[in-house]
Amino acid sequence: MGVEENKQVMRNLVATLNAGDVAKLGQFIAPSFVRHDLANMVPRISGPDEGLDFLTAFLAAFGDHSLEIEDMVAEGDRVVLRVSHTATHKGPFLGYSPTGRALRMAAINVYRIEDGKVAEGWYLQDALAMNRTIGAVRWRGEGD
Amino acid sequence: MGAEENKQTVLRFFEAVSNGDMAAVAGLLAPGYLRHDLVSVAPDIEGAEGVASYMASLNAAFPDMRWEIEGLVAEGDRVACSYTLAATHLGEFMGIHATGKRISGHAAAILRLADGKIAENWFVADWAGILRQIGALEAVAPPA
Repeated sequence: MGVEENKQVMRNLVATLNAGDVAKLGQFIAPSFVRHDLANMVPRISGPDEGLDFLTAFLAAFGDHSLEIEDMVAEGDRVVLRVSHTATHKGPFLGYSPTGRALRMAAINVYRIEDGKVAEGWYLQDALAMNRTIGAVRWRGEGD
Repeated sequence: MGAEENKQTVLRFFEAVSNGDMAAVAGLLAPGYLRHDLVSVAPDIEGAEGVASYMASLNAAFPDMRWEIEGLVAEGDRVACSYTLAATHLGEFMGIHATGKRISGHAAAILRLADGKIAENWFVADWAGILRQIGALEAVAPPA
């Protein structure tokens, strides 16, 4: 697989995610998949089953979610994406009740592609935006 | 300029920033350099003067800050860079007085190069994690 094919895998994955077609997302996830969360927002995810469970829960919590690819850089088996997430917190996520707040979250994620599937991903998102949206953090001295 | 030359330029840029060598930093930046901070708490930075004043404020809070590059991915006029930072909180940062705490976190950037100089930078750091480590942000437990 060349760099252009790997970029196309990521474009197809994002289009499928935006269509909310969770059943079809499995084709993009390698059996050895590992998701590393560099902002420690989500515990490590291993394998397609855990990956799809997470995406299903995420889309249930953020039903109107849309992911936009802002930039893409690829070399060898790596594809780096700068993305923006737009969504509303409409369902429980990581144990936090829906707030109805709007989420706008940027991220730079690194993916390792193997045979046309994502084998490993390192995710660095604006965890401050997510944690503020779902109510997982407050500023020191800020009331409940 | 090819992708390999661009990687070398980015490595020189990080070395110059780490060493506080602002003359070297200025020599590596294209006119009109702009760093977009993808996390809303941190400001955008313009030009070598902007970098110098931002680094001065960061160094006042974290004088021993070390940046370690973990990976570079280059294509066309873009270089993506993932790295870690570590420091001791020895001065005021975002309204929080020195705590003496060790902080660490991940960061990532995509840089656009023009004629061998760095023209634009999209940057994300785990500010949420760092702000929690110094006590500026407090975790809120999910409802039982």
